[in-house]
Formats: sequence, structure tokens, C-alpha cells
Amino acid sequence: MDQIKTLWKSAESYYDSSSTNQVTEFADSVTNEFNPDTMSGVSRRKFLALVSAGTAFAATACTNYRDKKEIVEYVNKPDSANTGLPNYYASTCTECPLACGIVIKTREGRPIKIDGNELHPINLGKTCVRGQGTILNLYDPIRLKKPSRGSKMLTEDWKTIDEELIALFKKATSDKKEIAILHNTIFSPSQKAAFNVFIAAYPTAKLYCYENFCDDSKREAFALSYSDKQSCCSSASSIPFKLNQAKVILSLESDFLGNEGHFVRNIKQFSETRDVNKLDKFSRLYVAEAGMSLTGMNSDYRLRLTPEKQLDFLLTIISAIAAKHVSKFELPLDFASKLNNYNIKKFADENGIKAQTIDYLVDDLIKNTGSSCVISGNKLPKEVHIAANLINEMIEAQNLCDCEYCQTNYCDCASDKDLTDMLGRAKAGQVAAIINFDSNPVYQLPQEFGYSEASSKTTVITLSEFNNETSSVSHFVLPINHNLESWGDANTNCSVFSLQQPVIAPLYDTRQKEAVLLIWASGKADYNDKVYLNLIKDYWQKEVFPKSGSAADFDTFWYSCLHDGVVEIKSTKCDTLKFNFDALKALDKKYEKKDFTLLINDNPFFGTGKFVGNGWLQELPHPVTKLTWDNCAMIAPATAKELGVEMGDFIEVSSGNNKLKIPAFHQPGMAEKTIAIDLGYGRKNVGEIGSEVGFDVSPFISSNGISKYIYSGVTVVKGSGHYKLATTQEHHSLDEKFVKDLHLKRGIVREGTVEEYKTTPNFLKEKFEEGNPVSIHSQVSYTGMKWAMALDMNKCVGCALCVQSCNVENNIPVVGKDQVANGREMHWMRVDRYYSGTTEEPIVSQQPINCSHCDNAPCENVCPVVATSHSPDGLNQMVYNRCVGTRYCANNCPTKVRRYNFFDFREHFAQGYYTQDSLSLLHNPEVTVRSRSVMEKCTFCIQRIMEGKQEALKAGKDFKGSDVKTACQVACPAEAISFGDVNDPESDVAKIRKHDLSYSLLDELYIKSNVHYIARLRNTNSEKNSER
Amino acid sequence: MKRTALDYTLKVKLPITVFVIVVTFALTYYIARPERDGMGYGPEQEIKFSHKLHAGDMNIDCKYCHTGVEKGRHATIPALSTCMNCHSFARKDRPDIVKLTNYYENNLPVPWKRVHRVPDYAYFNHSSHVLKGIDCKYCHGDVRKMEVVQQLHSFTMGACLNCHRNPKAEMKDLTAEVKNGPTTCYGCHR
Repeated sequence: MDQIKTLWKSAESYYDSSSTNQVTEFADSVTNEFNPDTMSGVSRRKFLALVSAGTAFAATACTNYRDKKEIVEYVNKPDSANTGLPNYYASTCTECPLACGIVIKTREGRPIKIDGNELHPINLGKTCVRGQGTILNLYDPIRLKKPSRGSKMLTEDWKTIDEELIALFKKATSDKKEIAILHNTIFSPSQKAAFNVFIAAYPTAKLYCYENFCDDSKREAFALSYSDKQSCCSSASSIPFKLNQAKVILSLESDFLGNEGHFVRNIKQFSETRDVNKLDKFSRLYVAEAGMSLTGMNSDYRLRLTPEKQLDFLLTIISAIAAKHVSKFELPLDFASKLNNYNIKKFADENGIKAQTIDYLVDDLIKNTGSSCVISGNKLPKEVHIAANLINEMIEAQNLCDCEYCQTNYCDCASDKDLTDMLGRAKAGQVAAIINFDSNPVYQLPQEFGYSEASSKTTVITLSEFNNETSSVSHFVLPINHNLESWGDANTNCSVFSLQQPVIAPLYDTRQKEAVLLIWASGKADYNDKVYLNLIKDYWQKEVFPKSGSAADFDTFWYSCLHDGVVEIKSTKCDTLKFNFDALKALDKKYEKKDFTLLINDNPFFGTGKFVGNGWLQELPHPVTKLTWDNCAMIAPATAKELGVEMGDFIEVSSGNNKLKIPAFHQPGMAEKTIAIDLGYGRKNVGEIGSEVGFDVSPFISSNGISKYIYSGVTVVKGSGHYKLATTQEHHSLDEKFVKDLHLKRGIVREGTVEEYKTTPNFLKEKFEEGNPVSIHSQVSYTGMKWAMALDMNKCVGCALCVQSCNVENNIPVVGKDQVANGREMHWMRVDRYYSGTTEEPIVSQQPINCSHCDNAPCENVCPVVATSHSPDGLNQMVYNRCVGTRYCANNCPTKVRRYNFFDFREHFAQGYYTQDSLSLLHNPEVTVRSRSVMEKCTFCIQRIMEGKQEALKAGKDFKGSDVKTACQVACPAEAISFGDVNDPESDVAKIRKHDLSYSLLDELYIKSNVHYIARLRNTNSEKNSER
Repeated sequence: MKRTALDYTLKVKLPITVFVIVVTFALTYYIARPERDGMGYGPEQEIKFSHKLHAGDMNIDCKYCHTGVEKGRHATIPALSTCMNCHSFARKDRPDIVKLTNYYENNLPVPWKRVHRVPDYAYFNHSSHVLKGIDCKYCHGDVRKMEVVQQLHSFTMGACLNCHRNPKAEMKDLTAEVKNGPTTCYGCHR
């Protein structure tokens, strides 16, 4: 047997045994060297075992496994620094010209949360998403850390640069060459004073103020309409209305609830008029607009009107009001005669609008003379604003004017001509230096101005927190302090002065921007960070203190202002403004709609693009489109169909020499042949997060349009290719039978009209008959405290401020566009948006949703490891340590509010961008930072509940539900969110539960939700919704 | 039937091995339990501060140094300036006080070794316990008698819950009226 050859390759070798035996499988040189007999007896397996055991023993022996690290204490403890306890500082947010009063919460000396300052009379305790998100900018690792020189960013020390620049400025002064300072709106009197000091030292210096998105045309129209004005409102663009007293509001292409004017104040005041318990004060909102805005989504009546027709629309209304002869206001005869051409029927027929709606509008405006107003959008041309001012005169809207709070202005915007002239001189070598004072002209100025060419012919000095488009063409880039590291003040309205104080020492080698100017002005390169503070104090001592009428001495006054953050001074009462009829001459203008109309919108989150590097804001769903990480061209579905463009298909927009390829987004409610694009995207050189996100529409801004932000005669064609847009809410097809109005049929959104409610207060309960569900489990009774939330859908406008506040409070990670597209965004709270009706005239319903902490929570039954359970005070608890990540709970959650950490998102997003050192300071230390593969969801801010308990104990009081305010509740400008103990009959939540309009989600599943909603009432006339 | 080597392995060798492993594991687990919980851990500190002398013999109130204990979550280690309140004058010549003064004058913190620690995911709050009248000793042992502070009690979830469920039994000489502590997850975890 043994002789049988087992291996053979050919017949020859099979038969010839001798040849086979000689066959060697391997070459000699290989096999000969490998001799197992000479090797050591230790097998590979044993060797590995010994190595690993050795390593383990060595590791155990060499470390003190009981070591618990060190505790580092203060050497000298400041009185206010109590480890584990927060400090609050009142300050002013200087990220935009609204300059809201804010309260900054710091822990162990680092800011972790920003809310509005309740003492501030303008923003009334609320602040916008940008204000809340600014702490992420403070800790952003890409902040500029050192001064640098040239496009290669060679770092330099401040002293060398200061000396060099002082020499440059001195030479410029002696050569009589200009020093141009480009800056954004000035709202700080002390900043203005600092500029004046600089100009006094270098008299050739000149200020150029500009804003990428401003209300120039409105301002111009206001100046024309009211030529004899009080000093207080002399530079205003309009006088703000007391919206909380308005009964009828007509908004013309104005997103006053989204991003125009002081929108936070507007939301607060508007929502006061949407109180179901004060039906006699319930306001009615008419919106006439082409683009879909947040304001339009909240309207009672919405008219789709292209901007070209706005003037005709207003003239039609003027003629209708004049025809009724009720207004005390007499129109000049020549103007009145022109109005004969306008009538409602004709206008309505021409524009496909229901004449009845305009009739209602006119009736309402007349009936509510003295308590109605017209708000015209900043985008519109000046003629429309003049016509709007005229209507406001006719309906006595001045009754609603809040003239004490009209915007002051420290510096008029430079005209386009001023800027082009200056840049022309710079190109000719006449300008010694251009100082970009926290401004970004390369991105913000129209390209045709030729800033980039001018920059090579002069010295460009950029003061900025971050790299931007301008820093790459600058000769010197100087890093400046963040908002939260700076001193400052603000005076946005005649009667309100507010102070800004640093809450953290500068993290890097940065300087206060005004102090930089003052040092240059002093002519000596000795920096002293007190120099600007001293100037502010001087200003306050000389200007504010005497006006305040304070009986105390200045120091007391100063520290009390610093404590409160704001001081209100008595201002002179404004006179009634007198309308100047000469302004009406401008109304002869006619606009024709040609081809497509392009609307350029101010982004509600980024403003003019400064915040694109902020991951929180990028990921916050746009209030209208629910789009994240991109902008898009909003287009009416019908128009898109004509063009053959699907959602996300590229379209090519061209106007003049400008062309833009941008994905289309089917937006119900858009006027036909109109596209709307948000500004502030497509930035370059702003770091990993913000660069090349979205599409830049700013090159379209020129002086050839109907206004700077509206262009007619734009061509739009289908482009090639498709783009992936990441929205957080899929579009329900409005035409598809199954999903159409599903939210209404299932009672997820319940709505009615004011009429209905007045006649049958419990109409809602009748409509949705409650069944009598039973549970297979025995019901737990909650006898002590029981936490619950209630949301008033009449007040909620869907601004997403609650979402942002929750993000900051609860350490919500940024996940990135790809993950949002997978439906993995981590927001604990979301604002759902539903459409009903037609795509042309959609009725929009919004609904914020967070975990309902259901009594019979379906998530709890299915968790195999009891990681989620119920507490005796009615909270659905989520314990991260127990969670093994089966995701059963999320699958069984009927409201889909549970969020799963598919990755350690901080590691996963942008190669661990948000795990860099400085960002660990950002987290709220009272909330766990969740790791990979655990589930998470809204906790009803358990950390705040526990803090409330502790405070009550400390104060020796009984703990009450009203002691706790959740992060979303504090942020909500509409005061739509109430939170508290539902077992306390005096609490708001308990009262709301008993309300006729109250309902909770998915009662038929017997989940016993603890988040209740007050159904939205629409203040329409008696006609049915379907007829609107 | 013939007995094979496999039979022997299955019937004798395997059960004995499994038994030995289980017993060893169980014994090690229970014997090493206090060790793992950190009980008896009392590291040498950089400066030989004696709680026995300060809190015991001189009867200085715990709260004189641990100021945060009634204010918030952390009891806090005193700032060096607190030590210097006395030691600017008292016992200035002792080697450890010289060391302390050096730290203070160079504006450096003393690297105190941490003795007691609750994991990060448990949000223990000192103030809500102390304000209810629960003495430090129930968790920290009688520090007044310790020359070198060491951990006497276990700081595990089980130890917390024992007391939360039945405070009277765990703290026999407690005079204050206390209710049962929360035993719900959100009581400590968030």
C-alpha cells in the first residue's frame, strides 16, 4: 500500500516510480533551510499565549489600578467660582445688528448655554438660533489663533505687526492717502467712538458701512414718505408695530416671523394675539407673497403674488379703501383719479386670486382701522414700501407704532457709488490701506465692484475670527475676540442701552477688535486689553449715566448695568409723523413680469453667511423646506413639471452674465415661474464644515433688478445631473390618495376655525370621538408629582428655536449631511410640517414633537434589557449604561422620537472634527455625552428637574412643578410650551389638559401621552377651508 | 462497552476542570469584591494632611474646608488659600507646611490623590444628602479618626440603593428624619 504513488502529474510519472520519487514539490533552496528539528520547542500558540499573558501581567503590575487620578483645586478661589454650580452673566449678543440682550450660563468659567435676557425690553427674554449657537463658534477649532502675514499665513507676533501698521498709517497721513475701513452695521456707540478716535489720529481714514442683506429700499421709502421726522427715528427704515395689539396684519413678501425686523420680538408679540382664551383679541394674518416663508405658513389667508404685482395689489387696496370713503385721510385729487384704473375684480382675475379674499382683506382693514397694519418686506422695491406706508396712514396704523423702539443707526450704509469709487481709487494706488473690520467684502460685495483687483494695489488688513474669502487676499490677518470674549455695548433703539461683557478670557492670542484700532490710534504698540473698556466706561459716564436719571453714583450705576446687562432710559415721545404726498409720484412705476422671477432670501439661520461653519445651524432643518446642509432653488411644483424637473434635479438659472447651477426643490405654495434661493451658502475658505456647502447666489446681487433681491426676466432651464438633498421630512405627495391629508384623518394634527370654536366650543371632541381602549397591563396611578408638557399650536410658528436650545442643552451631536439623508439626525425635538389642500394653495400645519413620556410607553415593553422604564413621577427614563442597542424601542415608538447612535457621531462626523480639544469645553457637564450604539431621546430636561429639586431643598421650600423650565420652553419666543406638574391643578399643563381644544397624539393606541397640544384655530371667515 | 479515553475526559476530567474554574472564579469574585470596589484604598498624599488632627482633635467643621458640600453636587477640595488662612501663621516651620507654602507661593495646586470616586454616569449630589441631615461619615467613614484618609465603604450602585431603600437600617444612629431615597433610574443617571 505504501508503495502506491499518491501524487502524479502525468501518465509518465505515474508509471515510472523512480521519477516520481525524485519529484520535489519545492525548490531545494527553500526546503533545505527550513528544518523543524532545529527549531525551538515553543510552539507558535504557546509563544503568543506567553506574550499576551506577560503583557497583561506587566500592565497590571505597572499600573496602580486603584488609582483614581488627582483632584486639582484652586490656589485662590474666586468667590463666584463654585465647582459644579453655574454662574449667569447678562450680556449682549453682537452677532447681528439686533443686539439682543442675553444671559450666558457658565460652568467652571466656560460658557455652555445662552438664553435671552428677560430684563431686555426689546427681545423680551428670547434670542434667536444664531445667538444660541454662537458658543459653538467660540470653541470652533478653526478659529484664528495668531496674527499672520500674507496669503501664506506666516504667523507673526502682534507687536511687530502693530509697529509696522502704525508706521504705514502715519505715512498714509503724511502722504494724504486714504485709509478705508470697511465694516458692517454699527450699533454700538462705543465702537463708533473708537472709530472716531482712530479717525482723529489718522484724518485720512474713512468709514464704509455695508450689509449684504439690508433694508435700504425700505429706509429710502421711509425717508421719502415722512420727510419731517424726529431725531429718534430719523434713520429708521420703518417704525415697528406693536403686533400684540394688532387685529389684522397684512404682510407683503415679509418674513417678519422668520428673519425680518426683530423677528424674535415679532414672534413673541404676534403669538400673544393667538391666544385661544382671548378670542376677542385673536388676530388675522394675511400674507401676499411669491416665495413660501415661515410667515406665509402661519397665515390665515395667503395670496400667491409675484413681486412685480405687489404695487398693483397695494394700489388696488388703496383704491378700494378710498372708494368706501371711511378713512379720515384724504388722498390728493390727482393721485385719487389715477386709482380709478384699479379694481379688485380686475386684479383678482388677472392674477388668479380669489376676489373674495381681497374683499375680506379690505373689509378687515377698514373695520379694524387703528388696529391693523401692513408690513412690507425688505426685499421689495421702494415704491411698494411707499404704497404700504400710505395704506398704513389710511388705516391709522400709527396707533400701533412703537416709535420708542425704532432702530437707531450710527452710520448710514455707504452707497454702491461710494464703494466703487473707493475701490477705483484703490486700484489707482490712491488708498494706503483697507481695513476689513470684522467684515468679509470679497464674499459680501458684488463681484462687479472689483474688490479682489483693488486688494493687490493696496495693503489689506483683515480683522476676523475665522478665515474667510477676504483673508485669502489680505496682507495681514488679525484674529479678534469672539463675542463672548469681548467688551462692548449696544444701543439699537433710542431708549435702550445694553452692555456686553466677556465671560471667558480669550482662548487664543486674539484681541478685542476695537482695542486694536485704539492701539493703532495711540501710535504706540503697547497693547492693553483695558483700553476699550475704559472708552466704554467713559462713554457711559458722559452719555448714558446723565440720561438714566440714576440717583446713585456712576460706579454703582455701572455695576448695576453690568449686572442687568441693559438699562432703559426715558426717551422723548415721538411726534406723529406726517405723510409727505410728494412721495406718491414714485408710484407711477410699473413692473412687468418677464420669464422667471428670482427672489434672493436672507437665510433664517446663517444671515449673510458668517455662521456657515456652525454644524448646529447647518443641521437645523430649514423652517420651510426642512432642508439641512444645503440651499436650493424653491420652485412651484407646477412650474417644475413644465420644465420637467424632479426634486433635486439641477436647474440653470441665468440673469445677465450670471449663471448658477442649483438643485430644484418642489415647494408647495410658491408662485408660478418664480424661484427663491437663500443667500449665505457656497462659501469658500471657511474650514471643513462650512466650505462649499450649498450654492452661492450672491453674484446675482446687482443694481439692475426690481430691487437688490428681486430679479425679473431670469431664464431657468433644466440642467444636467441630480443632486442629493438631505431633508428631515419627506414630502408627502399631495396628489397621492393614500397619504393625502393623512395627518388630518388620523387626528395627528387637529385644527378648526375661530368661528367653529365660538359656536361649538367642544367641536374637536365631537369630531374625534374617543374610543374606550383597554390595556393588557394594569394601570399605574401617579399620586405624587407627574411631569407633563403642553404645546399651544396657535402660538407656535415653527421657528425651530426650541430645537436649537435643546441641541445646546443636551449635548446633541452633529451627524453630517450623509447621515441626515439616512434619517439619522439626532435632534431630540423636531418641528413636523404637514401640507394639506393643493400644491398651489397649501394649508400648512406645524407641530413640534418630542418624547411624550407616555404612561403606557410602547418602548418600555419591548426593551429586552430594561434600559428604558418609567419613573414614579411619570418620566420615561432612558438609561444609557443598560442599553445594548437593539433598537426595538425605536421601532415600537409611535411618534418616532427615539434617536440611535449609529456611530460615535462626534468621531464619525468630518473625521472627528467635533472631538478636538477646545470642543470638550462646549458640553453641558450635567448631561451624559452618549457613546456609540445607545438609544437616546428627550428626557424632559431631567438635569433641570434635579437642579430644581436641589434648589428647592437649599431654599427650604416645597418643590413645585413651576420651579422647572425645560430648555425648549425657555427658548420658545411664542411661549407656546408649558411644562410642569400635571397633578397640580393650578399648573398650566393641568389647565390645558382640561381645555376643550386639547388633544394628545394617537390616543387610539392608548399610549396615554404626556405631551398635549392645543388645536390650532385658523381665523378665517365662515367659508369652509376647502373654499379658501 | 469498552471505555475509551474520550469517556474518561467527558465524565471525570471535564467536570473537575469546570468545577475548579467556577469555584476559583466565584471565590476570587467575592474575596476581591471590596478590593475592586476600592475599599481600603488610602493613598499617601503629597502633603501628609491629617484629618484626625484637623477634624478630630481640633474639631474643625468639615464644611470649613469642603465649602461646596451644601451648595451643589461637589463637596470640593479647599483652595490653598483656605489652608493659608491658618498656616500663614501656624506651624510655619514644619516640612509639610513649608511644602504647602511653596505650592501656594508658586501659584501651583497640590496634586491631591483622589480617594473617593463615583463614576461619571452617576450624578451624585452632596448638597441634597447633607442638607437632609445625613452626616458625612455614613459614606466616608469617620474621617475624624483617620490619619490618612481611606475609603471604607463601597461606592457601588448596590451600596447607594441599600441606603435609598432602607435608610434607617443602614444609618442606625441617624437622628434626622429621612424618607427613602429615589430608586428610580433618573434619580442618579441622566
